[in-house]
Amino acid sequence: MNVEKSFVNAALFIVTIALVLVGLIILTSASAALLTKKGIDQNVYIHLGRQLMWLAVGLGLMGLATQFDYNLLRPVARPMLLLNIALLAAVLWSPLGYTINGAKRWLDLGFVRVQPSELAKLTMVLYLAESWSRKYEDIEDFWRGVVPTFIVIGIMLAMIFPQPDKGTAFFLGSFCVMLWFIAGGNIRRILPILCILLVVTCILIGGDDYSRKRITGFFSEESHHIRMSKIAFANGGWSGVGIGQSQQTLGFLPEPNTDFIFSVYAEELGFVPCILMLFAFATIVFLSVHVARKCDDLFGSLISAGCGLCIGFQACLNIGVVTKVVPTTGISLPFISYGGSSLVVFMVMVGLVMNVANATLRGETPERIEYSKRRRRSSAETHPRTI
Amino acid sequence: METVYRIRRVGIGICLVVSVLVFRLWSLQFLEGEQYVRQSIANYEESVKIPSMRGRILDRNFNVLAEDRPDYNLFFDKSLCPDKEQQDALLVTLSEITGYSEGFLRSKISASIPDLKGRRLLLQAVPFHTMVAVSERALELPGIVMESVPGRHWLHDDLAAHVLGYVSEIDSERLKQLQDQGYRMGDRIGRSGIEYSYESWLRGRDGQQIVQLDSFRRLREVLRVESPAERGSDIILNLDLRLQRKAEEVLGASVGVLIAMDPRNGAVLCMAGSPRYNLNTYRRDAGRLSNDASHPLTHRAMAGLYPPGSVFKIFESFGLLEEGIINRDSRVFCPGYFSLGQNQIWRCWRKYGHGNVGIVDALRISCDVFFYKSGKELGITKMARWAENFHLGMKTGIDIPYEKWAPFPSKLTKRPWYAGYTINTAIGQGDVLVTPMQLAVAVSAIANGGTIYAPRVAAGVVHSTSGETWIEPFPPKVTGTIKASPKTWDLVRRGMWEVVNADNGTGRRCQIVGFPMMGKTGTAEKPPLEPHAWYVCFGPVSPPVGDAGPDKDNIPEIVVVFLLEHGGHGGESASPVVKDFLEFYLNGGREDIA
Repeated sequence: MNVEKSFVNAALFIVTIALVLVGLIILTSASAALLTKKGIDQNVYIHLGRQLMWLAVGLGLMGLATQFDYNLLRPVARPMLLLNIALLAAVLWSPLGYTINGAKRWLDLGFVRVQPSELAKLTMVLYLAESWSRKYEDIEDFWRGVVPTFIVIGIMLAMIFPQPDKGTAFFLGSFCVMLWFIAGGNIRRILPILCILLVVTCILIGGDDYSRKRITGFFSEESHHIRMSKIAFANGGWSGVGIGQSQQTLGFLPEPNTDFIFSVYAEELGFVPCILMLFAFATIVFLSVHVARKCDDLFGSLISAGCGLCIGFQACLNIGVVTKVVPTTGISLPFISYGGSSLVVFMVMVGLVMNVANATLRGETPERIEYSKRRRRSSAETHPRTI
Repeated sequence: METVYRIRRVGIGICLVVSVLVFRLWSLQFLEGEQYVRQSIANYEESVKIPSMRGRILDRNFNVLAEDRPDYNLFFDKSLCPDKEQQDALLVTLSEITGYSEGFLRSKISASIPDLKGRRLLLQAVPFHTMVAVSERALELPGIVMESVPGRHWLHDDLAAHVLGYVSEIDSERLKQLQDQGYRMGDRIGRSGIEYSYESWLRGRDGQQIVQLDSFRRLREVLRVESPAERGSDIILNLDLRLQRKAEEVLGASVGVLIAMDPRNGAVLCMAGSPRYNLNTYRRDAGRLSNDASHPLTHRAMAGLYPPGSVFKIFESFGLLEEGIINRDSRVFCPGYFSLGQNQIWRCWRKYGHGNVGIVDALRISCDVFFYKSGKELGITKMARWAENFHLGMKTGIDIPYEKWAPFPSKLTKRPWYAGYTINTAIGQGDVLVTPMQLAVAVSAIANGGTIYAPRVAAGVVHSTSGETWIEPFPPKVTGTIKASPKTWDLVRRGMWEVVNADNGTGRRCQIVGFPMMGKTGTAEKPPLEPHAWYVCFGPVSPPVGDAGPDKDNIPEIVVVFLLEHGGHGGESASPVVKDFLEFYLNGGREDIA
């Protein structure tokens, strides 16, 4: 039994489950207030119930994700991308698209509603990992390496953007660039694309009153959301007001069970648990980055780093929003926020990191040698392995 | 391997981001914290009024006549029940509970204006069983908010309705005047009667409490009480519950007034007017009541103006005797009519006349011709002056608002003045208009030997400060005195004695064995309708002997003034009713009352 492997797997599992459990508690508190507000006959545990159901699905899929050779995902990546694009198209244009609060982000399958833009995060990690590990040598070639990938990603973002889910689109866009950097790409190579994207983003945001106000509001006056969130943090202080005692959930804080759940958490539990949660997310990132470093297969490496960074980046973005470090973007907090698709996708991501960790830290499998031959040869030529 | 280095760089980046966030959390929760906590307190906390309980109104034996009890009002809050289907279901349930039709409730919702909290008043002061049912089924009734507020309850519905008066929310006009006395929108205020005049005692003081609200401005919890509400002081009335009830009973369905007063201090023992209205349902009935032809809202005892008819002869007699127009021995021949000039004729009420009558006879049999003739000699100016000595044509100063009065007719009120007017005035007809209360005050002055008291309905106020309870009595208020010679007093009182006690006295039907009284009947013509029937009396008295004047040590204990609108002749229809009333008084705990 490999100690390091066991440690990584156990740590990932414990941290994830801990986050999920804390999330359930805070979710119950935040939803109770939210649902009570809607009417006294509401079952205040309805969100908890749904989240538990998704948690069961998530645990199952997470376990499944650790149980096979991740290299089997290589041929799956592209069909999955196509499927995801189809789902996004269904959200936008088919009658199955479901609208909540003016945003058409859900696909109503009758018995359940799923959010394809959440799945897009996983799809993107897999697709980029597969794509860039396959044409590693051409990665810096603008026309062969860069443009096709970015076009595919661009299509996906273009379908998420008008849902509207600008936050997720922005998140995926920046995450894509981040992953490109990790994969070995030179930022200077894609500078023109970044510039075009920046201009397009500026035009889109500038043309939309709501988004423009959010950006300008960040630098000038405070929006209601942020002020309420700040009050929640201030109320929490050192020790918090106690679980279920949050005042800000009583209708003051918008979206207390999704985007602003961290404020509720901070108000109810105080400073130390906030720091602990930050470290929990950091732990996931560091463990996945550690696995990525250990893995001498670019595909596995990118999957592990991509999944970990996706969780970490989104967590940072969410906490950044509620603490007014970055402008408001509608991004949820992984594992904590209410939302089944998001929970399942992130749990699968943790499962994939554990999968790669298993493979990497256990020793090489024959299939893996086969798949990684090319990549190992090329990396041995250019970068003699030091670690 | 480049990827590895890159990953390491990303790791450093993550470290940086995490430290930024940690610092940010630190600064939010501690450095800037205080400022935001203050903001948040302003957000949730609100100073809210604790409505004070109004003081009670008690009768002279401390029976409660009016008090505050919790009323349960139902509000509808649309923001708690935005769903149309849910609203429909809610109305079905509510109509099941309250018995009102769905349509009625729906119209209530659409008709009522949302208050400051966005709620619409649906039902006010619902009965207790409805309150219980609504609380039980609260889960089926989202959006129905119940609030308990102190509400005024009059324990005897219409008993002394005019005297007690009505309480309702302050209107914008009075609010403007009373703003600096601490009145706020939605406060209750006395509108009439005792509730109005003793408002400052009864009102109490509203308290303030700091409550925590959620963002829908609904109460979450009471944080602290800044100042507790102070209950208003109780007002004790001179009114006696049983006497008042009896008075209203003898009045029955007929339109009239019965006032009983203590001539020794002006205390009003009962003050019944008929028809009345039910104070508890006034809000609902107001429209119907104000259009009612019998004017149940009018407080006839002090706001109804009637010609006093022959009752006026008592007061006129004082003028005649004091001004020397007549004396003990003067006689006037009554042929049944009195003529002035050629074809102006005033008839005596007795067609065939009374023959030769003196002042005592004239009062006993209420001879009109006697007063026509001597009244004309007295002249209107002196007659008016003597009427005003008895405060006829003046306000009595009673402690209830909206008292009416009419100036006594004289050359100042009517121009040109003809002698005929004087003759009409001499028998209390023509333009003479008095309220029953004015007569009660004037008759009391005769009963007590010349002191005019302002009538007092309220006897005192109950103070309770720091656990101690003590009653502060309101002192009697003297507003005038009548100076007349003992001879005059004796003659008038003798006349009034004979009205009741002589065999042919007009008030003989009111004789009560063991309770000697003096009185006077009155029949005020009101053609083409039946005349108003008056009867005034006081007792117990000792039979008048000699020229001693009124016995100041032995003042009668009760004055009764009775008026039956269009009731016929005073002696026939009014005096027996007063007898009934006084017998109740004598048999029903006279000691308690006096």
